[in-house]
Amino acid sequence: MLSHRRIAQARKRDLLDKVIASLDGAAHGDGPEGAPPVMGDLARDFLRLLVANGRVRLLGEVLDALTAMLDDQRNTMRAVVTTAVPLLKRERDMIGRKLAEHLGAARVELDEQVSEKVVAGVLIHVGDHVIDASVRTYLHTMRERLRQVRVSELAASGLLALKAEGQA
Amino acid sequence: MSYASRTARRYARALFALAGEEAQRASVVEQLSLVQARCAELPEL
Repeated sequence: MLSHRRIAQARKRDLLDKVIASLDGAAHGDGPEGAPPVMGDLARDFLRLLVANGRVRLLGEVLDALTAMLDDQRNTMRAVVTTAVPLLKRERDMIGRKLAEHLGAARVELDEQVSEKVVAGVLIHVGDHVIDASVRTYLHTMRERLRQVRVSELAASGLLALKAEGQA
Repeated sequence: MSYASRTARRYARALFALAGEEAQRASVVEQLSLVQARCAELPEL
């Protein structure tokens, strides 16, 4: 709504002020009188500038860029961690610590996702890199290896003989 | 990179510089994220 062309600038600014006021109100609903507002002057003025320049729709991209710059300053990296079941706190801490050591980062922020597709283990995406320690991939790799095994190798290993004995 | 993305980066760089210190930068990011989340709840026209 804030970026709609048919809404006048003054209306958008009023709307923005209401959004900001609602955030302040939500934060101080049970708080003490005279508590500082949630929104600082800089963020408030910046948002008004975006509205005035018709750039509110860029807010998401601005935030992505700001977050990336802040991460660089803090030597922080972000990783998407996918597991079959939610991580325990100690597992989360351990993965974050190990990744930070591995990547040479001061800190790694984890974005946790749960997917039954990984079966068990963990799948980690950091930037363009993937660390795959999922059982799904292990099973897939094993299946591909088994496909490549020749029948003669199975016979030599005695597996076929065992199967024949079982059927007898 | 699109014109919109370049523009967004210019705004971000300017705001990052204005915010100055790390704590202030983090605070601004948090505040803008709150507004973004609240704006996402507004009805589309």
